[in-house]
Amino acid sequence: MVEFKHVDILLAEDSPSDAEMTIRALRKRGLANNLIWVKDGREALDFLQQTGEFSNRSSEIPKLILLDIKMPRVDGTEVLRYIMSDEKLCAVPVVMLTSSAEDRDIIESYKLGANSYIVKPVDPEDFDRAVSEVGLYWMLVNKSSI
Amino acid sequence: MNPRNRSFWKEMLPIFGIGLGFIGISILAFSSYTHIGEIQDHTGWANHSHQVRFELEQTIFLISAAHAATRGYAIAGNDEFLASYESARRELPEKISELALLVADNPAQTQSISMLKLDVDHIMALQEHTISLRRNGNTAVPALTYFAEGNGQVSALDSMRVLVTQMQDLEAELMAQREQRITLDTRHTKSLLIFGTAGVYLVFGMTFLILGREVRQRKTADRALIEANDALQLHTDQLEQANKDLEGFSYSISHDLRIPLRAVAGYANILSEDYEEKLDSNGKRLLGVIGENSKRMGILIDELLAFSKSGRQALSRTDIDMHAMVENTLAELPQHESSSSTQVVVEELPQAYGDHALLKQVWMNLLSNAFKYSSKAKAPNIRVSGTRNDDEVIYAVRDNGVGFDMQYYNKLFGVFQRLHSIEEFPGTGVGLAIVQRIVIRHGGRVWAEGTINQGATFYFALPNRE
Repeated sequence: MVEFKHVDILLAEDSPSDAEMTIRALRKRGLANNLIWVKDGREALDFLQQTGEFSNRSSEIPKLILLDIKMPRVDGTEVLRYIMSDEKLCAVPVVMLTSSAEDRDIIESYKLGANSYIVKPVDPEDFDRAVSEVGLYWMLVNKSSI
Repeated sequence: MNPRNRSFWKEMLPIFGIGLGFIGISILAFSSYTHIGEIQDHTGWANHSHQVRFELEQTIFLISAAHAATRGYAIAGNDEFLASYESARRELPEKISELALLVADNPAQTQSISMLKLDVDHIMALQEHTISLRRNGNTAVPALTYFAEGNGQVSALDSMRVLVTQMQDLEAELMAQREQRITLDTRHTKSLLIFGTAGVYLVFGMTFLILGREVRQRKTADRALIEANDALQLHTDQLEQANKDLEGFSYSISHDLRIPLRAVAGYANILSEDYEEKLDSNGKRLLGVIGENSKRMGILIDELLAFSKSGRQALSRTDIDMHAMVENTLAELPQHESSSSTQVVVEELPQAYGDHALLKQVWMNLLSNAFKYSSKAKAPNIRVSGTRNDDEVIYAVRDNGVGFDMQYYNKLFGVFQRLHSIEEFPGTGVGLAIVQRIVIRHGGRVWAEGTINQGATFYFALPNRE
């Protein structure tokens, strides 16, 4: 059984390179210490519902959830739908991090209640800036209800 | 005969057939009706002849009766004979005038009647005189003598008989002539009815054949049309499917192509950040090349997506103040701020009817091109103008930049087609392709004029609001 420490940020991202770059950008701002990375929506749901691999986890709620939209098995919008339907989770800020700039994804995400929608830039500097700004805003600047 | 005429005649043929059939039926009905009339007439004539002959018989009978009575009275002096004489005498003039009326239409018979009348008068005079001789003489001899010799009056009776026979013969002959004519007419009418009916049957039969063929042809054509429609529907479905596939494809490009690209750029960046001190200047340059090219590929993907989007997005048309749109676009263009040396003139522009976002994209692309390609001119100059005619509004963007060779005009609006090297002028070659696509989707057209090193003018025309 895995021991689970305190978690501030849940990152669901199927691309290891995107995940590494995201974590790196957050780490630069000192935000990645209590971050857990899951590889798809199913694992994200397991984490949030304390099932499967995460059945031994405490019921502590993360402060920020970063969701990639296009993931295998269960996609980001489905995880978002679950979060918004859960009484305790719905107050957690959710940021959609995605490669897709398609209108339908943006509209769908905001309709479901996402707090931000970030199209991951190809340019590394832009990428760093976008991710760290989101992390800073939701972790430090925004006054959460929790 | 051209095909339209041929089909006209083909369509008219059954109508002609039916018309001809009805004309035939009308002719048959009319001739039957006329013939029945003739037969009726003939019956009338037969009665008439019969009556003429009867009346003639009567006249002969009456005159003979009067004659017999006269002789009887001359012999016996008995008044009974006188009574029968008187009655015959009274009836005779009536008979004569009836006869005259009956044969009034026939001059020969009318003449015979007047001769008959003459004879009758003679005989009557003879009879009258005989009777008066008997009545005054009281003896039979003088009266009988007179009656027998009677100044030639006796021959009048014979001549009258001959006359009546002649008249009766003539009537019979007339009757025979009429009969012959009616027999001939009947034969003609019969032939007409037989052949006419056969003809009408033939015409109607042929018309039905033609109509039948027409109906079959039409059914075949209908079937062919239905099949063609089905094929078209299938084709449309396939196209829709292809469009959906394309949408999915571009979505995949936008998502899946960016991930590895981001990784290439990102990891090159990590490398240059984390291993800065271990890399020599050439190593750093190489990482820089990787970064630059990743960036370019990112832009290419974005433009490709924009191009795909410009074809897929539904148009929502409104009236647009093009002047304001051009001013707004200019304000948003980064080149506009940086190159203050460029002189931009925007003339009064007519209103357009179209999709706001897409037309803005058109101005964006045309104006940024104008800035880009005139940037190396001594005094860069851009002029935007527009006119409206009966059918469309035409807008023009003119610059005094490098222009282009009209020889390569057909490549101008192609996707990823460039007439200049990237080193000379950066870009992906999608801008004008997007412009063309958007304008064509509005039902408009685009064209351009250019001369090398003397500038270019790009035009687009949008149809007027109906």
